[in-house]
Amino acid sequence: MSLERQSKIRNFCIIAHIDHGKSTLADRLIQNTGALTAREMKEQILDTMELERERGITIKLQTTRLSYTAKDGETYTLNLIDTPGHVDFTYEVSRSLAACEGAVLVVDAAQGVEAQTLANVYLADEQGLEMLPVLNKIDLPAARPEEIIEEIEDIVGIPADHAPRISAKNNVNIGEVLEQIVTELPAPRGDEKAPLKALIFDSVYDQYKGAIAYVRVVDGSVKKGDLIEMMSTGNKLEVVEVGICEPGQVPVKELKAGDVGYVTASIKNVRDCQVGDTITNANNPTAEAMPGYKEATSMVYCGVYPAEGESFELIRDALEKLKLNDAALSYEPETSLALGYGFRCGFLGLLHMEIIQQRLLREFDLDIITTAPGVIYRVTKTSDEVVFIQNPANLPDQTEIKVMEEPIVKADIIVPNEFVGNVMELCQDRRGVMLTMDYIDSRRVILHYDLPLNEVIYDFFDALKSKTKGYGSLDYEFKEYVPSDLVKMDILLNKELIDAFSLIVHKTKAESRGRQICDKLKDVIPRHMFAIPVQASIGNKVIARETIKAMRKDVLAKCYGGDISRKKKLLEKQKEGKKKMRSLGSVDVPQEAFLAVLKFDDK
Amino acid sequence: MISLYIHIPFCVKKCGYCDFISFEYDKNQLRHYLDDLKKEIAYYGNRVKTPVHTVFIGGGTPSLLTGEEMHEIMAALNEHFDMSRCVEISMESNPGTLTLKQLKDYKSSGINRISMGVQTLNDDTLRSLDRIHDVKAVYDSVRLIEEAGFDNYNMDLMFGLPGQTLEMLKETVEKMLKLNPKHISAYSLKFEEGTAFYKKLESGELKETDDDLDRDMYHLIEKTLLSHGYIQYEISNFSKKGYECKHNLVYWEKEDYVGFGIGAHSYLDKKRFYNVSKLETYHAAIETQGHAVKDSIAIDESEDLFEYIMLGLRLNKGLNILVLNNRYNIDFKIRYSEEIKKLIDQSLVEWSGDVLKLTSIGRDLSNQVFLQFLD
Repeated sequence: MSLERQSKIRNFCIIAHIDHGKSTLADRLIQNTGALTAREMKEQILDTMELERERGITIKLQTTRLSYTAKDGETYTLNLIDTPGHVDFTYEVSRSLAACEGAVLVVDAAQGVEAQTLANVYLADEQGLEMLPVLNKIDLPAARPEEIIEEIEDIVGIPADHAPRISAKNNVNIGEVLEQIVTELPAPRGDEKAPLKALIFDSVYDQYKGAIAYVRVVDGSVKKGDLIEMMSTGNKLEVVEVGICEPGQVPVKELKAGDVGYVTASIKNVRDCQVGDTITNANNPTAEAMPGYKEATSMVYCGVYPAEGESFELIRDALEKLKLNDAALSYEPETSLALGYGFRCGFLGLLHMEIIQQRLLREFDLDIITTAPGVIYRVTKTSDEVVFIQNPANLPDQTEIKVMEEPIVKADIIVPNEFVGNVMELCQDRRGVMLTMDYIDSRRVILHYDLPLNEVIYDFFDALKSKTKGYGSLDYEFKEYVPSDLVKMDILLNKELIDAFSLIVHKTKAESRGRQICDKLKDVIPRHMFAIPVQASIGNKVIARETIKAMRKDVLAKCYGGDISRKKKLLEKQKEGKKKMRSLGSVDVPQEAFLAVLKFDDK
Repeated sequence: MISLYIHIPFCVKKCGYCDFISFEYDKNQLRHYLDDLKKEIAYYGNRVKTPVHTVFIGGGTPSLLTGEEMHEIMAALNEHFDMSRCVEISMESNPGTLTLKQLKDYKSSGINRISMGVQTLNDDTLRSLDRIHDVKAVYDSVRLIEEAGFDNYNMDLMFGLPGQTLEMLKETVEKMLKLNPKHISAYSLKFEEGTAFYKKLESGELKETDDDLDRDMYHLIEKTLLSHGYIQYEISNFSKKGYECKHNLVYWEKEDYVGFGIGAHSYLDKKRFYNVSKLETYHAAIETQGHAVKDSIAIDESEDLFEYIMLGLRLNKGLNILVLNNRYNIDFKIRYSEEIKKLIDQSLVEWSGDVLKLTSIGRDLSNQVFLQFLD
């Protein structure tokens, strides 16, 4: 009976390289099964945050239950579990995949298999998922379906001759995808009578319901009033509501093995129902939790400070709100001599960092300054005490350091072969160690590298894009800590050390980075009434120097009848600009200065 | 007293750097425009009864007007305004568009001052500015202007031009001094948004002159003109004694003025307002309401004070604090004590009795001074 019920369920996700059309396909599936009326159907339903739409990536997951009547006359419940589409969120992706039996693998019929296609395929493979390949953008003039099918079979290693050839954008052949989801992907086979075992694959914060856990029930069942336990922490809670997502939340009586839905239990914040955790029944617990649970860990850190005139408290409130919904975000107060009171924030990766920064700017309308991102260094002191350093300012004195280690990531880079030279040059410049290189086909190559994370976060992705005319794709994951010859580099403006600019760099890179930063600062800091030396130093030794010359001209030549109002406006603008600058010692520094030091420079 | 500005928005060809409102010259369009100008003059003439102090006819290229057309405009002014105490009537002109007959007609219509857009006396540079004249045309025009009986004329001099070196500028200044104009206005080239030059700047075809060279040029001009008997009376303006442009002083001393024609600005009874900037809307407005005011810009007391300080400091004679205190009923020294102290410490301003003046550095960095007084 239980298996009979489950045979009408398919739990699947869609995986793809960025821009290959994952979200568009999701929209079409929803549209073609009538889960939403046409009026409700906005472009790309699943990407709800403005930011996500803008960047064409999914950050926060959404889950949708579709009802589909297949050619066999039976009506199936298809649970589409969305996955975030970026390297920073690999762990989240893996948990979404763990909640499914199958994955729809979308491949751009013109572009073919890319780095994130493969990264996602590996993840899906690890979870033992059945994969259904789909060729998207089949109507593009550059589409080459036959070649791409071969590519999928060769590289991904799954048969692809039956792959639906579709255009998600133009709603072509979507029915075939739905049909094959039913015929090709397996149904869940949970034990409804066994103790409850449900995997949390996402959680969101709702101001009325508290944290909501999105779950896949693997075994057993859960209903309102049940006492449940979070297996990682042992926290016990009473279920307030269970339901399904259509995609709006619809309460139901009970979720059973094979179902996908949500559970609320007055959970105060998302930290208490972390992605990957297993929910069981406290009175009748399952023996084993779902494998693969990891606590969200921050890999990249940066300082977030109020810009001139902005309030520290408002930033704290905003971070608190964001954190409710984002278990991977961490923050703690810190003080900078240059910037005053602020926060050190931890992120999964660079994209995650950028997203949080943008949300602070847009959703909370805050004026913030962010310092250069850094990674966590493992420092063994001469006393054999081990400390983890994520703020350069906290690095112990050189004399107290026995060993300093930095995080290394394993990176896969896929590029057309004409750019291999460029990429190898870039990776070498970023202290990368090449492990292997394989030909994917006659045109493309996959390079496996070990790269220091602190080089990857220094604008590596943009550099890769610019050196491969946009064709290079990248995926990486943390590998290990290795000892490294690292130094703390300081930046001085007008002979004053500006702690917010300090960073930890490899010794061999210090001089060039120092020169680059001085040069950038010279360009973005406006001339003052006096000349300003800009210096990079290690300890007391200056390794690079530039000078911002004293201001010589700041005058509006013409000022006649019609000019007066206009000139006044210009002056007001100038004054506004000046107000927005940050006074660091005697020097007024525009916000761009903090960004400028992060950006890759080709010259 | 009131001053009048008349805008003639037509040119043979627009210069690449120019952001004034102007259109390609068309005989019929000019005719239509002059007819409406006369109506606008009549409209204000019926309402403003104060005698006229100065008139300035700018553009565009007012010297596109024939002698007869200039007579028409002047007749309209004389009919609707009290011109009996008018001391200066200037017009702008483009070298190369002037004939002796035309100039004599201008003179007889009442014009007593000519301003010439010379810019530079180097043919290559003139071409790069899209100017329609060459150096020879300047010499010819000066001869004609003098022959027609004008003794008061201005030459506009631009510096920081594309490819211009200090040496090239020096040569231009020396040539200009040989012609001995009564007045010289010196401006550095500015890349204004929306101009052809601005596009070239963005595309990298042109580069801005760097600030150091720009200031070297400015100081070269200052020094050379002062040593040749000119006095500097404003940041960008030099003249022989007694030949300051009285019309422009009206702007800087915040006296009243009314502008006629498209895009023209007015300042009357402590209100600023300005006209529409399209020909069609101008014509339609004049036909229906007699004037073409698009909008007014409210200025409260503190903005008015700021303007007074900004404009007053631009003048070399400086800001007379007693006059200011009286006009705004404040104590300037107390109200701005901190700001003044800071500026004096930075050598940007200095006191001369009750007069606050920009120093030489202050003239280079005048915005830094003005910013201190901006609320």
